[in-house]
Amino acid sequence: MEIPFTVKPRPDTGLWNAKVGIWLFLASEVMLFGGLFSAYIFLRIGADFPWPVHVLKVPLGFINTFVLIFSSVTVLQAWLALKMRQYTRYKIWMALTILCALGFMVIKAFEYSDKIHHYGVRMQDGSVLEGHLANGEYNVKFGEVTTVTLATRATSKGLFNINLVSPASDAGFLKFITSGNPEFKDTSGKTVTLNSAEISRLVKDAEKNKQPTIKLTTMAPLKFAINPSKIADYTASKVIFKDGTEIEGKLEDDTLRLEADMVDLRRLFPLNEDRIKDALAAVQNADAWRVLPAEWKEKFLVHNKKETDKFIKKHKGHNPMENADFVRDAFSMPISLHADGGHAAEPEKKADHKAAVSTNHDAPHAEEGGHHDHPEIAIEKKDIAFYSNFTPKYNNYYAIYFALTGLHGLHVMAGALVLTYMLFFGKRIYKVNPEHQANRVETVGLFWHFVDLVWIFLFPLLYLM
Amino acid sequence: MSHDHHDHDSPEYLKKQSLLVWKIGGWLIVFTCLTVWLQYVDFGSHSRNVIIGLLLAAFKASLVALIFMHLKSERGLIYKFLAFTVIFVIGLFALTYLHYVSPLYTEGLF
Amino acid sequence: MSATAATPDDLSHSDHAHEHPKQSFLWKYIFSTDHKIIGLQYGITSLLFLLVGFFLMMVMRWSIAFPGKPLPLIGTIIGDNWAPGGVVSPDLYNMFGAMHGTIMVFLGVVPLGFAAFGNYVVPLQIGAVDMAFPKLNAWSFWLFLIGGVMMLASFFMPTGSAQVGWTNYSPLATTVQYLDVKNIFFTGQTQWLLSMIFIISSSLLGAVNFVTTILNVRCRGMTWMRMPFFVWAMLVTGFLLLLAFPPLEVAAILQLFDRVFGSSFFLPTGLVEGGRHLDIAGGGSPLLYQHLFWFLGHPEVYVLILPAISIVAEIIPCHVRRPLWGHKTMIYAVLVLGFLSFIVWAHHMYLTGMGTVVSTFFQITTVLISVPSVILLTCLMITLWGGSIRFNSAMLFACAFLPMFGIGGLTGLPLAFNMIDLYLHDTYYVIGHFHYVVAPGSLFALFAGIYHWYPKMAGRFMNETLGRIHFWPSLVFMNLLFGPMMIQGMAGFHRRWYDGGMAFEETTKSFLWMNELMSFAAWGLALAQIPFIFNVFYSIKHGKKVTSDNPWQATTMEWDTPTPPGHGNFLHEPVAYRQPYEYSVTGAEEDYQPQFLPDGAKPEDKLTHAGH
Repeated sequence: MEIPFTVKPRPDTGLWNAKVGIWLFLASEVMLFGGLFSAYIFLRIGADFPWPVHVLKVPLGFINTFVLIFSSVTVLQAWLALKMRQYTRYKIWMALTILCALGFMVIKAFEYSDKIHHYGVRMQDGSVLEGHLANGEYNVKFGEVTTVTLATRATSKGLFNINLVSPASDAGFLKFITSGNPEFKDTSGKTVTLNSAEISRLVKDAEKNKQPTIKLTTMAPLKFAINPSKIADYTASKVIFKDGTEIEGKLEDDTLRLEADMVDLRRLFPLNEDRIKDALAAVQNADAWRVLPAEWKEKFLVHNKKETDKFIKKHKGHNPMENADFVRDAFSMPISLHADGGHAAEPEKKADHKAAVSTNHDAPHAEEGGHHDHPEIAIEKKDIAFYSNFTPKYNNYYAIYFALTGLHGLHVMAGALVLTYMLFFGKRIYKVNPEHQANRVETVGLFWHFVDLVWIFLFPLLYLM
Repeated sequence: MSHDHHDHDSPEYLKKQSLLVWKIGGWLIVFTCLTVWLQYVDFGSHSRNVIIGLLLAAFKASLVALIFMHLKSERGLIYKFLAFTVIFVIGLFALTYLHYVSPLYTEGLF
Repeated sequence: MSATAATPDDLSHSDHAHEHPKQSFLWKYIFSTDHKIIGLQYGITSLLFLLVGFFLMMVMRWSIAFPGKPLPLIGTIIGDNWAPGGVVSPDLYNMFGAMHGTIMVFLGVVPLGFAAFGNYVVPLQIGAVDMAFPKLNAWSFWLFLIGGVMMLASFFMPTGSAQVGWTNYSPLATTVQYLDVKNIFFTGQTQWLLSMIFIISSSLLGAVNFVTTILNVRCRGMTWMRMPFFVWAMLVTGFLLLLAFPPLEVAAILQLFDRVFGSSFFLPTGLVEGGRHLDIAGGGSPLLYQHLFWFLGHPEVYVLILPAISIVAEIIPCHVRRPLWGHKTMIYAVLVLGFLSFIVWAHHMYLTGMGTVVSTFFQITTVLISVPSVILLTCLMITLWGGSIRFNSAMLFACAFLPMFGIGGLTGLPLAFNMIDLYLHDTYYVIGHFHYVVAPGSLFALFAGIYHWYPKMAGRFMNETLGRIHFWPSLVFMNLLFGPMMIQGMAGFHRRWYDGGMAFEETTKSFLWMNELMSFAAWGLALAQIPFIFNVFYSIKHGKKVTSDNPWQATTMEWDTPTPPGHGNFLHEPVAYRQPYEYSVTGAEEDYQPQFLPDGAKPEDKLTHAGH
């Protein structure tokens, strides 16, 4: 016996199995995205930071909306072609749909990588500077490193003393050495050159002897430039890596150099501040204000004045400080050396370029233009409360942005995979029973429209409002 | 339910459907443009822009659901369980929102 | 082929199983898409998980009863890191506590009740040849197994497994095993989240399959009201899983973001861990996690209990030879129950200070939901009235279920009122309450189900003497184990004390003796399961053979199949002719009228397919 109603609808419900199934699945998807949207509302209402508005590139989001709507149309055309038993036309429309899905993901990838290279720095008092890292990187530099201590973490073990993964030191720290050779003397005075094989041998031996650490002394002092994401903690004389390895030396430089493209001073005054004067006064004590080059301070005041005048002209009698849009526009300002870069309040001349570059900057690359059209600002570590690129870590807006679009992207990819399967492996079933194949495409189509439907909400929520 | 299944398979009907799909697709693009434009119009407060944007998005979403996903001519059973889903989603929204309606939170937020 | 148009051709196809001798063991029993095999796979796996969860609890009970004393035998094997000198460390206690809850709920009771019994029995009861999507069904099992294995593997991470309770509340769940770990992926907490995502996906596929099958693959004549109560309960349970699990999936994904990408969905501003400000943005809310978690968490309670109560509703009418009292009432009650279970979740959160308006709302709905639960229980009790009861093992467990579930339910009522809950929250009273619902409640019903349907699955009865040796000690020990918890709870014992209250000896000493009593009851309970385990294996080969396809003289469709049912289930096209519980029919020759026999036909006592 075969399972009934796989193709023909059941008389009393009027539905074939897969249709019931996909709608049930979509119901659960509604709950999934419902939960995420509910989290969005919850986080936005409860946010204790100014919720970013209009920070994503609207044209890209708009193109993606267009692409998804178009693909929804094409998948329906493919289904209708099957209904009319025109297999070639079906294949064309289906291929177009899959191309749309790929296009969507490519645009998404550009957006993501843009975010990943963009940084924000929150100072101790809450003022914010945004921009790109100078040279695209930020490293903690350590010099005069003479001792390295490898950890075996012999005590970190799972149940029954079984470990599925090793908790001990690995060779990860070696790649941060910028000068000197990794030649060491161990406790017995023997010379070893460290590489990953050597380290795993040392760790294994030490584990056997129940030695928690292996102390090694360098033959000649080493220099390190370490990516902070690998560091668990560091002081002026010591770095502890996440795998437990410790190096001792001297902290040389942990200043963060930012090619700033935005200064945001909204966190300086309380939410219910109702006088611009007080707000402006507060702003001028900000940490970010201190590191801002002098001419940009002037420009900020001009920018603020201009926004205020604009608001007063437009809304007579209203208190501008009660308007979140005004506060956002007036107390944050894009910084760009290019004439029309960003939404700078007024045109800047190329000549300003050099003047704006802070003095302690030693590299000549600021001349190169292109990427470096923003003034470079050096921020000392002690001033930084928190910094991150615009990934989920930066704030809950980006967190929910990545969660929502990431999950949506996974749906797009899953949909594209199934559509591809339908395109290349549909012929067999089509030959046996064309209606069956039409039903299968309708089912995938329903899923695909749902993905489109979710995006219809995502686009305004994340890009526009 | 009064439709005979075969009505939906005639070439004329399918051609009409194909045209309708293009039309709705066009309207969806038009409404997207409208959404973008309206977000930059000043309605006095940002929350009005948000409400307008969401209403438009809901309208577009219902076009997709009704026409593209042909819920318009779908069977009652599907409506039944979608109704439950919608109720629970609204419950999830409303009650986490209600969370803030409390002496601890109301001040300063609403 | 449509079942409504059965031809002689179909009939010849019906015993497929015998036409495929080439099918290898691997494809027939391991990667099978047959709902019965998948049901058995689920059953065996979940029983094993129940054993693991039970073992964790026994270790915990040692720590509670004899804090600071080395655990005999096992203590030294566990390893110095977790049990120095064989003494259960607080960390180990936390680890086992968290995993006991997770394993019992997500890997034990739900898969056994919903997936195992549902898979085996539902298609048979609605006269279907298989589930609507057999491949999806197999996927569902394999995803579940991957999730389960990952969950167990997390014990062997350098950090140990998850340690913050089965609810995995943020921020603690995010910040433990977080700062000083080499790789955030290989920590127990992260593995917990990853495996939950697998388990949830498995449940979603399963739920889609169940609901579709029940809605669309019913046999001819199987109208809504002719569906047995078990099928109705499974339909509701399917919807609960379908709609309640996604928010938990959201919670798991967001917590995974917090741990792996450093976001702060559930982390408030200014969080300090181990004396250090965490390097996070802040601005999130731990309460958001709790809302999302309990949006699943409460319907989940009914996912645990509905299969159980509906198994009892199948067993009682059959073994008292009376129709199920109020079949329709029970159906409406279970629908209302399912609906209400979605809007009571925040009664787990009274202590969070979420506001009086919300508390009051949830207090009202929580009290309301006791009404349909009481209806179900009352109907089952009235069914017993005036019946001629067969006291076999299945019926003993089913009968014990009623008062045990009753106690569990009634002790829950005080917790519904937030003034009382503020005091009782997180005490052993709560533990006692929900264990009465789930352990002697759900588990007894599941045992009853195993004894009841075993003859259909194996072609032999389970041994009755062993069944009684299983039942009576289990009943006594369950009560000795969970009864005193109520008293301790009212005395203020906190549920997470690894030393059972020894640290507060001044105030707790008059109740400390109960710890030992309960622990010995727990170990006794373990001994009482040995006859059951033995019985399951022994009876496959040596149990009393059934002489009929319908050995209990039951009325529902599953007894119309050969014993055991082959691929395709039925030998002829199944048709439902009447209501599911036609026992004690006045004027009929036999005292029952099976659903699958046309009017006038007499039930036959014979085997159609014995001995393979």
